[in-house]
Amino acid sequence: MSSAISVDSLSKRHGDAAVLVDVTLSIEVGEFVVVRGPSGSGKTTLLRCLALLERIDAGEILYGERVMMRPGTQPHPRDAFGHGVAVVFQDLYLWPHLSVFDNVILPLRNQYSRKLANDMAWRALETTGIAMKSREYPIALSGGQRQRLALARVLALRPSILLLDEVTANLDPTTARSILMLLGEMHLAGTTIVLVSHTRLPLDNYAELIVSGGRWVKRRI
Amino acid sequence: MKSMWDFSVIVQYAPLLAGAFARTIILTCWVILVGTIGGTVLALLQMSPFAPLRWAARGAVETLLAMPALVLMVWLYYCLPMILGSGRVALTGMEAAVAALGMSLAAFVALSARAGIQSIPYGQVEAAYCCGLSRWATLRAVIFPQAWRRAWPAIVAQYITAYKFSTIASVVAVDELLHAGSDVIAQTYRPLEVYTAIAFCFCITTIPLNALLRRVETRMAWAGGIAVL
Repeated sequence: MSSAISVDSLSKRHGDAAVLVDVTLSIEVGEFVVVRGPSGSGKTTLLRCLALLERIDAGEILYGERVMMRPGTQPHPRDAFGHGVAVVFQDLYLWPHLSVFDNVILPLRNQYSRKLANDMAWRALETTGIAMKSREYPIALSGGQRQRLALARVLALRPSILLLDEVTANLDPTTARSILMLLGEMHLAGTTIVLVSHTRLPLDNYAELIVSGGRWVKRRI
Repeated sequence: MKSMWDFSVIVQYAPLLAGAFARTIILTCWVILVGTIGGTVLALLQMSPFAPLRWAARGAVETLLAMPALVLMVWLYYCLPMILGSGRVALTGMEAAVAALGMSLAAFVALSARAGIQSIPYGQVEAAYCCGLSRWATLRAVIFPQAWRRAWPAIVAQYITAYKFSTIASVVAVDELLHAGSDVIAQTYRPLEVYTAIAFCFCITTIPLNALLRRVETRMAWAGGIAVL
């Protein structure tokens, strides 16, 4: 198996606090990895580093064989998108002034013809089960529907690597399960998934990345 | 006993006052145009990645905020030709008024626009970049529409203030409403009626404008999916 994202001796500090210390890991193509740990363990920072959204203090981050980030360099977040990486943030960061449909189609309009963008947006909305809310604004959606919209927005872009931060947090068990099923389907379709969660998730066939003895280690479940 | 009020003088000079009122509106439109374009440019320059541009824009805004519009107008009208030579630069009263009031308005527009832009959570910008949007597409589709919605009540309130401030253009002989009113008073000795008529003209335009502003503000806030707090 080849590596989708790998991290070599990565260290990251926030002020005086060391958040990530000498982290080395590799996420294989098509793998489903759950990054699990208590609050403050650096899960979100690790995910943001993988998405090239944080400067790093030591080490390097590679997409495939290509070095994307080293200390002192700050690639544009769009570089990650250019390598098929999409991110769903914990706070979702939906665009509140745009309808559900426009939230999904906006990134597509830049890259595809109007008709194709339209088709792709509808397909993503139907897959995530919020097509019937397409005219609503994010403020009118429930927590679960907003999570689905955030997923639809990145799903429509057909990423090869999907980074998700606590997408099932604060959701009722039924909604959380349906979102995990959706992610499971994407995984089966070949998408590499990295999912940050502070709780154990009802999943099969995945690898878990946890802090053990002060180091991030990956183990297969 | 002779009545204190005699509004026949207003009727008699109505064409003159109406023309002056029209010039007040035209002056205000020019001030709004200059102020909006200048303010938007200053707001964007204040967020430029190039430090010298940022400093220059901040310096300009601070200077314009510190300077009374009347002083700036008089300075542009009287002092600028002295410094540069009256043969090269000689602003008309209207030009000096538009420039001074427009620049003063631009400083307030820049403040409001910058506050509006900075109020957008940076996560939304990161989300846009992570979805492949360019810097310009992010500005145009994500930042500007929301920033405008947040900033425009303050900006439109400044437009209304600029409209009321247009009366100071009478100092540099712009024949706007107050200036024309002073001419009428000089001929008729009826300041009570003339100043009341001028006040009435401003009230019948600004009160409905303020009401419309509040109404549109509420409707726009909901239409954008942003709750009114």
